[in-house]
Amino acid sequence: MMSLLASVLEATFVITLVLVILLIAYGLSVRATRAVMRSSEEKRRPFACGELLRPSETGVPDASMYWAIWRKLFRSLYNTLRDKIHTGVLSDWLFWMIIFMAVLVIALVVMMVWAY
Amino acid sequence: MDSTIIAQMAALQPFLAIASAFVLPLLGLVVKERALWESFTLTIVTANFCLSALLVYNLYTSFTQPLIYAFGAWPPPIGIVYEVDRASALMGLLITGLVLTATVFSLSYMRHDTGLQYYYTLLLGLEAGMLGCVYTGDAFNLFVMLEVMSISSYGLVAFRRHIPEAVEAAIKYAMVGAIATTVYFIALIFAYGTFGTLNMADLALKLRGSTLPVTGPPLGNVFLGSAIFLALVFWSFSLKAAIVPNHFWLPDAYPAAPSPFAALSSGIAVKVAIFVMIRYLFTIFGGAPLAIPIVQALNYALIALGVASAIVGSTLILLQRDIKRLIAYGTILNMGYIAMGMGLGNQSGLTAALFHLVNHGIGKSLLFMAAGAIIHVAGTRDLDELAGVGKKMPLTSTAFLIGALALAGAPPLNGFMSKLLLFTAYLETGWLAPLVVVIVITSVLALMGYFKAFYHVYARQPVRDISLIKEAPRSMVAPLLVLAGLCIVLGLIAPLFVDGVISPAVSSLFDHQGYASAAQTFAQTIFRGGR
Repeated sequence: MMSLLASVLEATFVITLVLVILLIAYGLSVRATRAVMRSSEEKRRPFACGELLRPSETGVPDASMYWAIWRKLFRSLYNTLRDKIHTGVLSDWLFWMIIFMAVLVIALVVMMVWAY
Repeated sequence: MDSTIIAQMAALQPFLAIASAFVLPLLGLVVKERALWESFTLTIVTANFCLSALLVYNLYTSFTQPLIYAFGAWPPPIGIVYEVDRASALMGLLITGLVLTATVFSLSYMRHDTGLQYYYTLLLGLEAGMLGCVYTGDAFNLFVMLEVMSISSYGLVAFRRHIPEAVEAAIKYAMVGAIATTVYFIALIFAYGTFGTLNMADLALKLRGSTLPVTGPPLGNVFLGSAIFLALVFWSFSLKAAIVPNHFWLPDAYPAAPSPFAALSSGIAVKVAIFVMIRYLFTIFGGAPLAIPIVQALNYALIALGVASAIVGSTLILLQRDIKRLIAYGTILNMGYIAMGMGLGNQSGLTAALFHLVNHGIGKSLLFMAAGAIIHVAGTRDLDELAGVGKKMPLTSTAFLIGALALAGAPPLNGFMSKLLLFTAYLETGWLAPLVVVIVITSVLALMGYFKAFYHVYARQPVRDISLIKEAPRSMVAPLLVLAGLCIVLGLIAPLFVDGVISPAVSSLFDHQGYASAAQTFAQTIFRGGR
């Protein structure tokens, strides 16, 4: 097990080294293209009715789109988990806790019968 | 160093913390100077950290058997004893270390709050309770220290009592927690009725046909009594450890509580409950011929509930908009991993569980404190409103990122290493090997959840004016950097750490004979007029 952890560390070191090299290359490329980006920045400024908008107000952020799709995909699971089980109501919590206790007791009885 | 002095070091720690917890409110009546209260608390928790570090050093270098401290020199099983082995000493170091970092963090974090002498009183009470739970060798004393820990926790959740959410969360937490401790008390009645003792070593001895001086053989049906006792212990401590389906209190309690408490509770208090389960299932009842089917059944239950916890935690982590609630669901997920490791019931499973327990304790404390620093500066817990704040707090953001990556299992950080051990432990089992899929999928979901938090806080465009936001005070950043450094270092030295620290602790947990005979020899020596 120890040799496995040591091998993982070696592999991680190599991956980290490659990542650092890639990051440096990325940083250099960004630096080289910054001047070009600056010249065209004004063209990309969003306006509405003549007023300059903040980027956050211009539309749905990409991350929100991603999470919307994710939630849509797993809606039924989330509805059950969040709205039916994790209600935040103490008596609902107790219901699940008592069920767990009951299952333990039943398992205990079954085990006793099996053992004797 | 003499074993008596080392044992006294263990006994002194909870005593120091609880005595200080009584002194501090009285001091607050006389001296109305918060700097004095803070210095007083800081001195005590630093002293406890040094004592626990000395204890660990001595237990790992000079002693192979657990050390016993008898309160009032009453021998076990008549009096209460502390029985400290390598595993409990390691837990003690983790507890005192995290309490120290949380106290330093609190200096600036709690700056705008009033009644701080009571906050630090509760913090010291929490430390005393946690230390008592891991050091004690007496099942009833464990109940008392569990109550000390729990009552301090309820008080800390409700500390900001002007916030209705905090009061509601504390009431719910207290009601659920009171049920757990009551069930444990009922379990103790069954244990006493069956064995005629509540000394842990005596329980272990009686299960193996031996006994400590004074008490005789078991009084009742050992199989039935053990089964009921362990089932009730399992239920009550799974609630304290927030394992599904007894986890509901956790995501409600932490967002409302001050972040240093959330860091401590999520980082170590839930682990104390897990440690108690390990002590009962492995050291006391583990390997005892009559208890083997019961322990085996509970191990399977641990695996099933661990899988359920991992799935529930990783699924719900993705939905959260409250940064502290998101981190809280991560705790449920990781408690699932620890339960899965324990459930294997073998050396490799418990090694993975104990290593993950340490790593998660450090990583989760780091995440809660980093989130606390961000909330302290930005004044909100809502991820949408926190957009862009991280760029103004580069050190805090870096620490948050390291904690998130560690807990999500990114190499070479500590969380990855313990997950890898868990992964290989499951692969070795054969028929349970397909469960590695659960570990992989839930780790990916956790990574998405933590990345979501980091993305919102760091990469998104601000939705409000954040020009006045700046890096958190130094006393808040310093603990974050220490914990982040630990996440990296523990990952890099994982092979050495597992070999030199975790494995000996796991061996001591499996050493039923050593645990029982240490108390037996100690008691016999006192009865013969020694010591």
